[in-house]
Amino acid sequence: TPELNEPPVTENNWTPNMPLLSSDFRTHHSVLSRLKNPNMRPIPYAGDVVKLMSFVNKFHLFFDSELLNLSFQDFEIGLDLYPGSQTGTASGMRGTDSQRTLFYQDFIPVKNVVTAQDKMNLLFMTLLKLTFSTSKSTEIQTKAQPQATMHQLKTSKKVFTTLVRQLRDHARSWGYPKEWRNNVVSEEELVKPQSRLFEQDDNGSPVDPKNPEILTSNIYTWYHHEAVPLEKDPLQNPDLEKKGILALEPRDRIICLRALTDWCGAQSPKIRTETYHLSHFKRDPAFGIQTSHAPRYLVEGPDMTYAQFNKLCSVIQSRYEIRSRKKHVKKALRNGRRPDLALKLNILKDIKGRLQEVPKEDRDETNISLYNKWSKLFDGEILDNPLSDPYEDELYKLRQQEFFIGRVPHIGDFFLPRLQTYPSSPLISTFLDLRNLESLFQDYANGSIDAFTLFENHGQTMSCQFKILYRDTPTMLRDVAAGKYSGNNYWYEMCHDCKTLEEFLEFLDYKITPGDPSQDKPTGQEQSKESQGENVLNETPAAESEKPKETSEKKVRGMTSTSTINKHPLPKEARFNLARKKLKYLKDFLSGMLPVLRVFEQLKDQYGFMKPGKRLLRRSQRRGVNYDNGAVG
Amino acid sequence: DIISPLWINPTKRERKENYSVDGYYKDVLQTGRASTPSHPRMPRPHAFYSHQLQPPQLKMLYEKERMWTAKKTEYEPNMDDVKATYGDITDEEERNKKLELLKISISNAQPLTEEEEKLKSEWEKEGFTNWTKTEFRKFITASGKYGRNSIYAISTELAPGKTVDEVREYAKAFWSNVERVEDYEKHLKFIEAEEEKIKRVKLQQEALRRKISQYSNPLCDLKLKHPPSTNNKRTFSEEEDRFILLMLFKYGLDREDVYELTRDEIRDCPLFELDFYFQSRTPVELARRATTLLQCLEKEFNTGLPLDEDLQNRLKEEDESGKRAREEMEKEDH
Repeated sequence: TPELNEPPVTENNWTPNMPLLSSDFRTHHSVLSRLKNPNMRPIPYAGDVVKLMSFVNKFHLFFDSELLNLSFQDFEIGLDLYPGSQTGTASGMRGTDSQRTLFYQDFIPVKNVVTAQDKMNLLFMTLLKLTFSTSKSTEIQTKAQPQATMHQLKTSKKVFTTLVRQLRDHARSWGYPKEWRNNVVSEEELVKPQSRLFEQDDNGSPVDPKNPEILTSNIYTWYHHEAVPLEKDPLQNPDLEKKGILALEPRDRIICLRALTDWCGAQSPKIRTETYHLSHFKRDPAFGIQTSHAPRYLVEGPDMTYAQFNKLCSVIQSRYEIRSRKKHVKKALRNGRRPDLALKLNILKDIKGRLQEVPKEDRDETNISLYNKWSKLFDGEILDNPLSDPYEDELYKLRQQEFFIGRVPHIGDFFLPRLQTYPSSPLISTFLDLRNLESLFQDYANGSIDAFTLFENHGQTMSCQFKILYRDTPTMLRDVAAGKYSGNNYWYEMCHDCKTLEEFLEFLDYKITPGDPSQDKPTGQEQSKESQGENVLNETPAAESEKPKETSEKKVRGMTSTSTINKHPLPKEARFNLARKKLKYLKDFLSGMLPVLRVFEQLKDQYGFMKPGKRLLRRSQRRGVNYDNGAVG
Repeated sequence: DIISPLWINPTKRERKENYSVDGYYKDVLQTGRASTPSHPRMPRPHAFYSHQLQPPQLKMLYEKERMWTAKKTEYEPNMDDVKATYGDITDEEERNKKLELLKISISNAQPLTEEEEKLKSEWEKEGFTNWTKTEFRKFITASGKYGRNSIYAISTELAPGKTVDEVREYAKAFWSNVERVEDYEKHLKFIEAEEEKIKRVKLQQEALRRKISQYSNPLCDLKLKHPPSTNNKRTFSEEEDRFILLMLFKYGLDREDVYELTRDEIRDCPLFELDFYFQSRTPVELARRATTLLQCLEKEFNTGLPLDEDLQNRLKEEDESGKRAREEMEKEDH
């Protein structure tokens, strides 16, 4: 007997995005020490930089194009921040050959350092202008334009004066960042309980015996969050009006920019209008309003995403088939009263025919290749599907984690901050739906897109450099739940260029391969030791700096190789199976990204800040031939 | 130029003053002659403020005294006096009657007897004549703000003028003689409404405490039994809602700056580092959301907080005594 009711389509979550829930890690302890490798460096300001890049990315309409190709490195160079310290910024880079500390100007052309600094000041100025703009335009989206340009920054003399003064007037009432609070007076403990009694004791007899309850037995005063005294306040720095953000200490620069995004988000009429627009759509995502979400293929992996798509196809198919069997529909079809439905049924017939032609094992793949036909069938049934572009629908924009590239159980989240998610132009943006992304990866891998193609196609509007960041989310969540997170670092750099990315991929391999049975015993020992170590880590962050040294020493002694990479696979227990699988997805994605990132690196090396113009393009094309010959020969 | 350009016209009043010869000589010569011939006036009724809680009988004495003064000065009452004594009366006949009445009471007036004089000075000591109208108004506001029995707290609002003991004494007298105070229903309504607010906050605080104590990891697990209405557009995530509730619990609902603190906590918390929506909420917006959440929480615990018999009996008693008091008042009026 044929089914009478069409299977429901709306109850399931078919979206191209998946929520990132804190509860994913609720029982997990992170295995931080398993990730140790020479390229891994603590980078406490990473969260702030990622936040700023994300802000620029989401509200790109208000930023000059010069700011839309910012790389993570531009922030570090422009603000003079160095990775490697657990608490703030390191005092420089250690040279590879010598013990001498190096600064950016020691190994990067000064011109490039200045460019990065200019960009930071432009960012500072744009944020200030956004914050204090008085526009109340409601049609922000259509009228939006960059708030400040590099030209303004470079030509006018007193660009910061009035803006900085306005900032000083307001910032204190808008709430200072925690680093700029007077934390000496009020400890976390002192903020919580009532700290000063107004009166010595409670009340005596009630004056109204009929209602004897004493509602206010005492009045308390509390410690407030107070900003640092004016003489220590970075915002009061007189040079801020002249030199902009560079007037501050490196650590304060990034704090200031971060605080500015907070203030801007809460105060700027333009940003507020945009946020309101992005948070008040008529419909909600199928998974409801979640704190954040990310593309399905990055959360669940491509396999699951395709499987989900195939499942959706079968649901839609049976919906159409059941409907077409209904009496009144049949009648309507016969009389030609439902041309749209007839068309769709034809498409369905076509799809089924195509599937019949191929062997069973290839059917899923073929089904996916028929995506365009399917999407016509989805019309009117469902708004988006697992394979649609996760960045396309504005519904997802506000809470989208654009830089997210993977979440691994027991380990944490990985991020690859690169801009240009939304004003994406073809070829250069990797913010695509899964199918197009995979073909883009291929184009880069087989060389059909090279640095010159990028140069021709506005490749420089995209961040050229990159970093892959790891966030120890399990530990972070634990600390947040316990309310003890101030001063802890959760961000680590895993690689910073293509060479180290290759090393990272190799490193991931060690983690993905399940433990060798022959190494069972020693691994077991190591594991128990390590899990002890992890407990120590979780409790006292101070011990952390000693622990890695100890293990790396052991490793050098214990192993034949001089590498300090922790080659131990993840523990063999079944609970780590999913982690291995997720690491595999991460590795696959990054292997696809590697050629892309490499071409962008080449673009930066070969073309630098050259602007492609018509004449220049023709000449460089000729030069490109020579270059190619040389490279081949 | 005859007039220097620097000359600025003095104000008109000033100029007049300068040339007022009469005014000058009046002061200098002190003629002793009153500018207007004195003619007897009806003495004003003695100021009598109900909130000062003086014995009501004192008013009678004052009235008697007033009539006597009028008689002494051989004053002839007119319509204005009727108005001052009995208020506006629209009916002409009635008004005339009252005028007659006034005339009679003046002509019959007698000075206070020795005994009455004694009573008067005794009764005058009884009330709270040192409580001005402004102080009384402050007392009412503070009683609402802190609850009627919170004498220490109320005293802080009346600080320089009244000591804690003075306030306590007055409050006691006030609550045992509320009905004697003019417009007391209005004042009572105000105080009760305000007290209700305090009680509500306390109830919410308790509900919050109980709710959070149910979970070992409230940030992940806390779930409202009656979640916010689905009719309204949801903009906060459930996790954000939980965080707001946790912060309210951490700092307490009775702190005025709790929403500023919550805002700062959101910005400090690494969990929301990349959550622009949450980070851009102002204290006002957070407060609005918190109110919604607390109302949902209240729903959950309102049913769990039944009125026990003891309380119910007491409420019944109160209702009855209130009714009785009102009935007595009405009887007195008639």
